[in-house]
Amino acid sequence: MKRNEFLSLLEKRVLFLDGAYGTELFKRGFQGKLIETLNIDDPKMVRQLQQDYIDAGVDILLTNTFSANRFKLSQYDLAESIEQINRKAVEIAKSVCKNGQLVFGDMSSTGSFVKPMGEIDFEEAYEVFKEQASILIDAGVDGIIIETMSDLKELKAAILAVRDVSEEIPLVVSMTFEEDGKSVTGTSVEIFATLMNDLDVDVVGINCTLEPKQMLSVFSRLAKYCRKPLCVEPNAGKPLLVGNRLVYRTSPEEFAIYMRDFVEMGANIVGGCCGTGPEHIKMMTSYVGQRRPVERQVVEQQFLSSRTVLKPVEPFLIIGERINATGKKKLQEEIRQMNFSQLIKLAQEQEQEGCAIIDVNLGLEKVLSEEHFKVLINELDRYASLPLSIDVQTLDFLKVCFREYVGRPILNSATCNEKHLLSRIELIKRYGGMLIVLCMEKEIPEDSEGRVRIAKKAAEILKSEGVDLDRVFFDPLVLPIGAKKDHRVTVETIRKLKELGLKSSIGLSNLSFGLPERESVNAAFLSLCVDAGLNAAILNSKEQTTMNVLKGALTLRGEQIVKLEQLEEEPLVNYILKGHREQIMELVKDLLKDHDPLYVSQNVLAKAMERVGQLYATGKIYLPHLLLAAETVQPVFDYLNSLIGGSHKKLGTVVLATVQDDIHDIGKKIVATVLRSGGFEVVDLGKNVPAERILEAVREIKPNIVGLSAMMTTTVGYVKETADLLRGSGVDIFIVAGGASMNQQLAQQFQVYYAKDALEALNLCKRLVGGERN
Amino acid sequence: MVELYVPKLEEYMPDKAVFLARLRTRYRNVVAETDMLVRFNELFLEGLKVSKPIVHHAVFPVEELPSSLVPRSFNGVKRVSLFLSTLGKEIDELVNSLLEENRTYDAAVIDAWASEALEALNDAFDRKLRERFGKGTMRFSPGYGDVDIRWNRYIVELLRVGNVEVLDSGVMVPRKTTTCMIGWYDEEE
Repeated sequence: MKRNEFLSLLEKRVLFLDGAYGTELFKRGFQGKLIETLNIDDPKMVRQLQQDYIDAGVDILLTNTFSANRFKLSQYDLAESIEQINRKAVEIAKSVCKNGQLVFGDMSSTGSFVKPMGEIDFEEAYEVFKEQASILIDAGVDGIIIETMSDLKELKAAILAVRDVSEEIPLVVSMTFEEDGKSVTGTSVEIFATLMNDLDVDVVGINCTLEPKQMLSVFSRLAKYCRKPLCVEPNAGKPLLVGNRLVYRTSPEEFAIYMRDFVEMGANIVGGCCGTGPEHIKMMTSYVGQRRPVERQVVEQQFLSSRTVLKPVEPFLIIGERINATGKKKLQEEIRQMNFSQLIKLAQEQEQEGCAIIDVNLGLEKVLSEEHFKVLINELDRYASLPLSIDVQTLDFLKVCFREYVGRPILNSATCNEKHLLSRIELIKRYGGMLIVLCMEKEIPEDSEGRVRIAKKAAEILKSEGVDLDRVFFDPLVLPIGAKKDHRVTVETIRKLKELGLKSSIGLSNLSFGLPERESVNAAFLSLCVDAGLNAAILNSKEQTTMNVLKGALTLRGEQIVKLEQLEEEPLVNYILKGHREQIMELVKDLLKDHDPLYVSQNVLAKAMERVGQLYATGKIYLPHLLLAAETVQPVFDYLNSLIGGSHKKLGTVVLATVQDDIHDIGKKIVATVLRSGGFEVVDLGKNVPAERILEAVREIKPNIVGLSAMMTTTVGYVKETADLLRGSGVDIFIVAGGASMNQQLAQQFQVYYAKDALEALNLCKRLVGGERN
Repeated sequence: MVELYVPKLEEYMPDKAVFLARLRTRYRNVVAETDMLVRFNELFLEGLKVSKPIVHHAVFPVEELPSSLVPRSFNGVKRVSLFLSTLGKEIDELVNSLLEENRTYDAAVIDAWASEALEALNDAFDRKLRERFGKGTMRFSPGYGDVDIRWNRYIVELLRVGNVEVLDSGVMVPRKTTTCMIGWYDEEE
């Protein structure tokens, strides 16, 4: 199906998507490890389920290929069957569609995080998705859905991969969020929405993890920020064990009633995820009926974002200028050596000083490689929160930055030379973001008329390329007054751009180049520019006068900068959060002059980590920060432990394992990192670990606690099997279970402890080794 | 011959926009208030759980019915379907108990929901009858137009409904009970 046909169908009525595959096929007796193998081994079983979904009234049927990417298949030694599994899935789905229903190829995560959060390269993930998309599209699917993605970067790799296979295929993308509207890697639903507004996808959605009731507010936020048609697929609640069967508590009628709410909120495609079956879908199609989609009121404002921080562009965007190696020899040498610690420090300082985004200009591009830019973007993702303005001149390097970047950045800057501008437009259209266009071609016009003429020319090119001018800042150019350049030309250009409804941004500091008392000159000029209608400035936020004058000038304009929420924490906590291991070590060594190592470990470092845990639990920091903090303090704890020696070394030992047939490792690795930083010895047995192997390890290692992870609803039963085996073998040990498929009720039924996330696991383990039992 | 019909859930689930309109609430205006939606939905589910809907129905040659029961607009019909649909006494009891607990808001929501659930049931049963009998008049209830509401007593007795009481005013108890009639022009089933 053509994209325009699909989009026009979406305008006419709300479409129905099918329900779950894994939980349904298990309910119908499948006992293997991977439901995708059924496409080959028992296609009738898949066909029957899909026929039931068709009978329930769906418009879109998904192929049984959710986990059929090479990365996941290889973990079951099935990589060689990738083509057969995917092709057969398309054939089965198409065979049951008799009345114009659409078949969408279903794709999901590799199950691993992309760097810097995880171990696989962005390009590796991209190739994995490209291969699966190629097979599905070649086999004749009508569209592709990428669903249940928890990481924005991995999703981006998948989107680019699908689009590189086909620009014509309809593409639905869907991410998974917790009840607070954040993904497991700290991306909010608003950040997801604003990036998806830019990327070349047709429908944006959320699915899995939450039951309909919990998903309402998350979807409401998506509906407010996303300009694309919307899709929603909630779960039928958390699973409960009844007898030997997992059941889901959301009844078909409850599901249907809530799905009607999603339609009223503006959903264009509604369907079900884990636990929903044909009876849920049938009730939904019957209750919702044939409806035209609701027109939504969407926030029109522009935003920039990193992985975890969203910044509005209005009323004024302060861009930190200090990551600029021009003229700084020591910094240049560090960059050459791939040492970015100074740059990260500069980014963090500018955040504290009130910048909304950080400009990155390395200069030196002739002596740098793509790897420099790749590593830098990943390091800034790990250590600094703010969105970036990427000021890179070499097109290939710019591409690397935009591929690796997680969020919605600014591309700074393009000239109005058509070839130059078009290549930059292509980048923001492909990867998302905003653009700064300089009002110059080869030369800078002396007068404002000339600069505005160039801006108009650029605006025409941008419009013809389909770029909304709201996504663009025009830089009227600030020239040094020391070189006898007239600053009033810039002010006049800003005023004229404003009259044309165009946004402007300046690089402030160039004005005072070579002058004494730069700060006051910069501040005075900025005030004039703000009065003329300036929207953004790249400036030195260390200049307090400039920052104060900016606030004053905006006040006179009747606006004020949104007050930044800065975390006011004690120095040690700040160092931990920013990954400043050297400073932590210095501080610890200083404390060791007056205190013994045990005191410093337990009363200072552990307390600071507790505070970090509180910040995470209260949503002030996100998972990437928690992981960074844990990694940062680990060597310091190790150092203190080496001084303590002997019996004080650890709080206890925890053996961790992902249960049999489950290959999801991310959550468990996070738990391991946090437990280690919290003072536990952790032995990780890996994934897909049979109960017998866990028993063997427990007998050998004699840990205090066993931690079991089960991500899939189809493998959660192994938690019980493992717990039963341990208890039946006379092993008296605390068993803690977690993972997407676990919940408190199931844990009670399995007679194990439950921890919903890494922090809760740490606190629980501390309580358990401290002698406290539930 | 009087037949009984027990509807499926989806036949008496009212559209939310309609039942909220009865509460003078515009669905589109409250969708961002998710707590409120959850509360409406929980009451909706409570209503579904408590209701015991049933339809008593029969078809009669028009000449067998008293002429003042048959509306003038039924002129030319050959037969008339009479049916009584009720959600049962349990929904009344739920509303009453909510009022006794001073949960007036919840009681009002359930009451509005039940009225529209009954209407949804009548619409669904109406469609069912038309599939069976073909061309007919619009659906009509005593109390409207030229048919006195007190004919309810006659219909209840004719359909031999045991659990519905008709007051002298013609009002029926349980409260979420209606009688309806549709005239058929063609004698063929």
